[in-house]
Amino acid sequence: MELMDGIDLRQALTIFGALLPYAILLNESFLPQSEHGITKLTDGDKVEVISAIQGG
Amino acid sequence: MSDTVNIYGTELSSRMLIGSALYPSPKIMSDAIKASGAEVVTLSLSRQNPEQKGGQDFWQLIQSLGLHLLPNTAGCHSVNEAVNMARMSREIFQTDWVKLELVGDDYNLQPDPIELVKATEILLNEGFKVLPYCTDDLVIARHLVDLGCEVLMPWGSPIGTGKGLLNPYALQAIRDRFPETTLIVDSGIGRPSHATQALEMGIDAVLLNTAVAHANDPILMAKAFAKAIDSGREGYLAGTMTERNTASPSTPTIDSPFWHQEG
Repeated sequence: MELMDGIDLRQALTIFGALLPYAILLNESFLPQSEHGITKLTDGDKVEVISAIQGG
Repeated sequence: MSDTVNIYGTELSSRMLIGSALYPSPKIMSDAIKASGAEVVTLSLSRQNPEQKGGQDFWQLIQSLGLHLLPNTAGCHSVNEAVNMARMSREIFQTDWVKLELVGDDYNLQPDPIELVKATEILLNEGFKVLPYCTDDLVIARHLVDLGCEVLMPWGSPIGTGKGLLNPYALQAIRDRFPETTLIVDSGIGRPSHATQALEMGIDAVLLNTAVAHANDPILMAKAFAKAIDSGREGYLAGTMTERNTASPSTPTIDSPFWHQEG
């Protein structure tokens, strides 16, 4: 997904349309919710939005 | 005195934990889980696709059941993956409980015992209440208990096989060696009688998913398992007779009519 320079993660999640509740993997590491609003994305960052599914 | 299962200080009346996967429909899932009487439901995590509403329907359905949530780390092959998934689960589901799964072999989804111990130590140190999905290996069980696990989830047989308890001896050894640890047989249970066998041995509870979800009638099967589990537990509490190799009459023969003593 192409995003504007300097955008923070929370803004990116809004553009993506992420639905609560979710958690974030940034470059394959968990990023706590408290850091979403203060984390600036840079070129090549890999963001994964993770949410609940069925499981055994 | 109440007869409950202890999960890190939480007392449960039901000895069945139930999964939320593989049901023919969301309604059947919900009805089967209710019919089971289970107080704990397992669930997992996946990448969100907003076009599919991010799993909102499933999440709302699970919440409406009002049960304890037990997130798993299914599909993780490394300590790093499993630890990250546990941390995400805690944030999403607001629970310290995690059913820690670390796949060591894709053929039979056998847990990797070495990596499991490493991940367990990290997560216990972060305050998680770890329910490790392990094999029936006594020594791995000891390592997990020594780290501080109050609950172990040894397999009966590989996930989804329905083969029942492949090694009752090994499970019994874990039971006998760790009488204070809550043991939940996870995976491999296919029939109600398998669950009865586990409970009769003194296993504290079983976790079911495929056996219920893939039954012709999942709701009826959930009820059948609930009865089988109660039966096995009561059999354990009652104390089974000692097995013998020779016959012994159950009917008193003294003063029986037509009785002819030989010799």
